[in-house]
Amino acid sequence: MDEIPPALLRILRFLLERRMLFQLLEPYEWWLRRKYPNPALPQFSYQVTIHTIRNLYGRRGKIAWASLFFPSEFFHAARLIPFYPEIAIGLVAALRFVQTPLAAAEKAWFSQDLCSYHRGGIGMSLLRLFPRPDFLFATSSICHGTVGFFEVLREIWNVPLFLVDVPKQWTRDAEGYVAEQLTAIARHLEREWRVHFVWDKPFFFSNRTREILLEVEALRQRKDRMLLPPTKNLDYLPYYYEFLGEETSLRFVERLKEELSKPSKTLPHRLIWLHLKPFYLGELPALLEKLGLGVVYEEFTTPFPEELSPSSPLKSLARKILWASEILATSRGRIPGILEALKRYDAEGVIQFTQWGCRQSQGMVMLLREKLLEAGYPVLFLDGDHLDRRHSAPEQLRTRLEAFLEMLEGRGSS
Amino acid sequence: MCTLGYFCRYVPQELLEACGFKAVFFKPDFSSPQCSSLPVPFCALCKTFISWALNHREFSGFVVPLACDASRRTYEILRALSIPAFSLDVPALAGETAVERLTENLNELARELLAQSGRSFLEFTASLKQALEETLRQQEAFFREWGKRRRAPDRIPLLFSGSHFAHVLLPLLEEKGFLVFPDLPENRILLGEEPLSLTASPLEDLARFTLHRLPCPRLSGPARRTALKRLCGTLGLRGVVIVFSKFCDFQLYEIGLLGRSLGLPVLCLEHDTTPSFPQWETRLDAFREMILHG
Repeated sequence: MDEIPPALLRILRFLLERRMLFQLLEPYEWWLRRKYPNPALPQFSYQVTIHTIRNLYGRRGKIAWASLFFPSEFFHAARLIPFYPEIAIGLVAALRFVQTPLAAAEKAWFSQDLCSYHRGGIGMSLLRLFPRPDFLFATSSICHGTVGFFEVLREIWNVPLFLVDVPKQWTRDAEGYVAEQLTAIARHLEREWRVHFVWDKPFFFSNRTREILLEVEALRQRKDRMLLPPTKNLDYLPYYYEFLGEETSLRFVERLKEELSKPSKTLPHRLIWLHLKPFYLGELPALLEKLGLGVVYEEFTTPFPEELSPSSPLKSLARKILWASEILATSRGRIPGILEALKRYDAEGVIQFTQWGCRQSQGMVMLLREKLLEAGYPVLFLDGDHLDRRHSAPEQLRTRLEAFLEMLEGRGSS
Repeated sequence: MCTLGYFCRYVPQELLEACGFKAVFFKPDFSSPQCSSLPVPFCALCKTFISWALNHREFSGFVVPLACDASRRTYEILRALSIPAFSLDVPALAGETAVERLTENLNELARELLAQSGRSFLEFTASLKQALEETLRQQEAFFREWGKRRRAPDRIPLLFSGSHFAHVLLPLLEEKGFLVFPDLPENRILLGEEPLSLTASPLEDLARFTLHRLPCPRLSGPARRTALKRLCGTLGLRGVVIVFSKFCDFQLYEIGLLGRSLGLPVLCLEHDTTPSFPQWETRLDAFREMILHG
């Protein structure tokens, strides 16, 4: 399904622009709710997807596109509909449709060497297949490429962009600087767009979700249960980002906790997964499972360790933004966090699928490898692209995973 | 005198010298070695800078701006390799809040460096003031020189964008009949803007001066594209040549953005720090033909 003929694309675009068409999903949603009053996770996710499509393409409110580390609670408090293009493009890749937008971006001079999450988002925008934004919000948090990506989106969509510049060190001054920028953005939205912020409800949902996520983490630390297939949790990213601060995420984590509440099938090896994963490669989780390589923790699903405070909401969100930057994008914050997680989850080693266009993670490979090996943990860096199948080499991937397994088993027997 | 190395124009030479150091700007060419321990898709400039730092351990240290993902990693790698490194966080936005922020960061860097050199803050401030006055004088000279350059009607004037390594191509461009206007931060004054006047606070002046220059591709906002468009109009430029090293995100985004907004022919010359002169010659010949004959 890689190449889509132009005529089909035009039809698709025509349909996506008919907002009334998406209102028709409402009875379908109602029927689904009646048929599955207590849905399991896959059905629950399906219903959430349908509802989100109706919200976005039916334009049931103003749409705010955001970069991954712009906290969604901000949008839920403002009653904006958040849309995270970096997450959505993962879904597009899973549907095996991503080569078309990637090609569209390349045709418009955006190189194959740029991050494919960003290139895909640009392509979907050029093709007008993503829902048109009313605003763009971004942070320079973990990756500075996001700034370039959102600049391009601003050019394409011609809508306001609100960028939060995130200092590279988490200090009290830095908190003040980020909070000041968030305050300026909130004031601008209130003044110019008559947006009204109500923090209590989204912060309640976010804090409650966080509490349950901590329980989920505790359950995942037990040896008699595991989320399968490996890396499955990364398919649930929207619940950790986009829906955080609304009831949807809370309901999701309740189900996740329920799924982990009793002993389940486990795999012999317990590993930590860094960065994201190739979303087009459906065989990867199956291969990991076949080789007995279980994933007990993913760094991108780590909950913010603090409660958000409705009495100083923007300061809380500023701390959350700086925390993400610190634990994911500085070796000072990230490496000790990984070492601590290895102990906490009693994990044997680490796998990182390094994204071709991700400068910040590519640059940390050398430091990460050195520190993990020094601490006695084997680490496997898989090279490729999370979205662009042209950079994929499945057989090489298999060989490297098999070699890693041998290494793990060799350690176990020695 | 102790020496500090740096590779980015966000690191103010004036500040390093006012702190009592000799400042050496890293200017690589296509023969500069690269640190081979880093993965392929990582900034070639940073790889060569790390290698340069490893070969200049006699320096007192290196100042690295935290201006992009690659420079951020470069700072961490230098520290991990036990090479003295100082960082300077540079905001991604312009405006008053960013000026305040940068002033604080410059102040912090100055204090760190002064602790090394033993120079007093008072002495530093006086020295920085003098250095800034000198920079403003140099800018005026730059403006006059460019005024003279514009009087070369037989050549094709074009905008030349690209950071390190780009200077190596300048002779080739001149040889091919182009009149090259490099995309320099000082270009802002060519747009007829008033040069900054100095105040009683040289650190704030320096921050304002840094953020007031022609914006570089890493800054958010359309200011750079607007300024370049005006520059092309003011100087009557007929094309744009962008020289960039692989895996530099800012320049990779800039190509797409400039291609969309300038409305001029654009030629991109990519390199991975290995030169391709014969290929570039052919492409420049074709570009010249395209400009002259549509």
